[in-house]
Amino acid sequence: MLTVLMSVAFAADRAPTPLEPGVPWTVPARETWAGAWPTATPAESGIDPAKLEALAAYAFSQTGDAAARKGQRTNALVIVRHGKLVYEGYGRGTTSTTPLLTWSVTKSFGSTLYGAAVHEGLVSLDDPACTHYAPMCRPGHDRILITDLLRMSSGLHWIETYEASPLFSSVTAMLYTRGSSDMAAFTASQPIAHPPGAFWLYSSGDSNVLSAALKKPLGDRYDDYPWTAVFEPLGMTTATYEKDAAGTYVASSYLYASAPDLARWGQLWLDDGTWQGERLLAEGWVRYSTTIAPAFYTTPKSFEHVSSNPGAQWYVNVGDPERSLDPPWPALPPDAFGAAGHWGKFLWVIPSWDMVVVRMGDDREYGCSYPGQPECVEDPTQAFTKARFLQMLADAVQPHEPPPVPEPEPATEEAP
Amino acid sequence: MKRVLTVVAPVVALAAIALGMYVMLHWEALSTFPGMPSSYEAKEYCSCRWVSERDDAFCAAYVAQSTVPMQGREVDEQAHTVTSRALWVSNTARYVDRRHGCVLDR
Repeated sequence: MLTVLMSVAFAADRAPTPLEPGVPWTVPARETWAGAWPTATPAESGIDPAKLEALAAYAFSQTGDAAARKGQRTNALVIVRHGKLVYEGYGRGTTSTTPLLTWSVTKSFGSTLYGAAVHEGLVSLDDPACTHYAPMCRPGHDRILITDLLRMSSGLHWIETYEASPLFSSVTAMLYTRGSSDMAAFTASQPIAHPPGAFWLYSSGDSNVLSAALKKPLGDRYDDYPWTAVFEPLGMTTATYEKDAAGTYVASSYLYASAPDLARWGQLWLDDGTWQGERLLAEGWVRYSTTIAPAFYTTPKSFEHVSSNPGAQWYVNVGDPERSLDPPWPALPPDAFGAAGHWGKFLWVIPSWDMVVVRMGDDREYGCSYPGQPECVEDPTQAFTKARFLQMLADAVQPHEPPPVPEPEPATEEAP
Repeated sequence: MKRVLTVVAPVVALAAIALGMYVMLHWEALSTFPGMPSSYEAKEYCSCRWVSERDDAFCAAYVAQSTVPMQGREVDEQAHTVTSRALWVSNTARYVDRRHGCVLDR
């Protein structure tokens, strides 16, 4: 109890994190529907059909040696505009119901569950993580707030490399060796490397501490919560969410769902945390999550800054002109935000275009998308190249107003 | 011969001490690393087969690792378990259910 009180006192010297309602874009009225996605043609949706075809041909072209896992390896591409499915395409044996591993796209789903829990008043951004998760109640660690973890600014030591340096990678140790019995506890056992909230460092560990910190506030509801809070209201029937051996959802890595189901979740974010008019995430949650993490600006520039403009468990498209950092996706409007995972998993939400785009791949090499990108393939036809893909998408999208929503049929009055 | 030894021996001794210190410093990471390739393969093969519902050939290609030689994989189709072996360490992953997919035995 004393530890909790002390951490609250420590936290008080930090400015509170605002949760302003609303988003900086207009959310159009949506038709209500159930079952499969309603569809619309590209022409009805303000998308050039021939250019869309070219985009799909690019995404699904196979130029590399399949046995050596080279070239584009797109499993699924889904495009939704104005709340209707305009395009879906599948490759490599994938179907519209195949649950696809999303890797780090899962982090943005973990933040969705927090948006729901904050909406219920169970958790607050400025709560010390220690309030909800005992292994964080250690001197130093007790100053780390929920918002620090969401913004990957906890200050905990972490090495996020995969194939490049497997020996000393914190993330592979967490998933497969030392941390695999309890990923959150493994992360919480890391030493403090920076003051909380001051240093941005991409960390899969932070995402799993967040996941474990929902157990206490949710209690018996923890197991069902991903379904009751998100999957069921959205009709995401293909979702699987894996846990570690300690029973904690692996919010860093292990959400699976079909591409059309992932697009439903993208639509929830496009619509400011509402689904067909019903609010599921706290007001202001989407704005908070898509606001760049303050520590990003004070952390020494590295190549990761170019590709990662971090909000809270989401990427945003803003750049940092003062440090000559371009937005990560120059072809997309500045209000675009996205989730991204290892080996070519992407979900983009593009409010100016009223659009959600899901591209799930299994790329084992990356096309060069920005200057100085390490170990990338120069020729965009020889590997999936995000910059090329997004430019082709931008070329296909025309300015277009959402069609008016028909008035709902007046309810027939029941006889008294 | 003696002269060669007087030059080589200290160099070898120094190298051994340096290696020993390196191993001591990084013991935790080094000692647990051999379990990594088998854990990776068991867990990701399990999810590939029974979460993403792919066949054996697809999943075998999906989990193939180029750096470490694997020493075998046992797939129990009835019990929905996968045991992989590499670097003389075995690890098993099991499919729990539709909602919760696969998890490593710990």
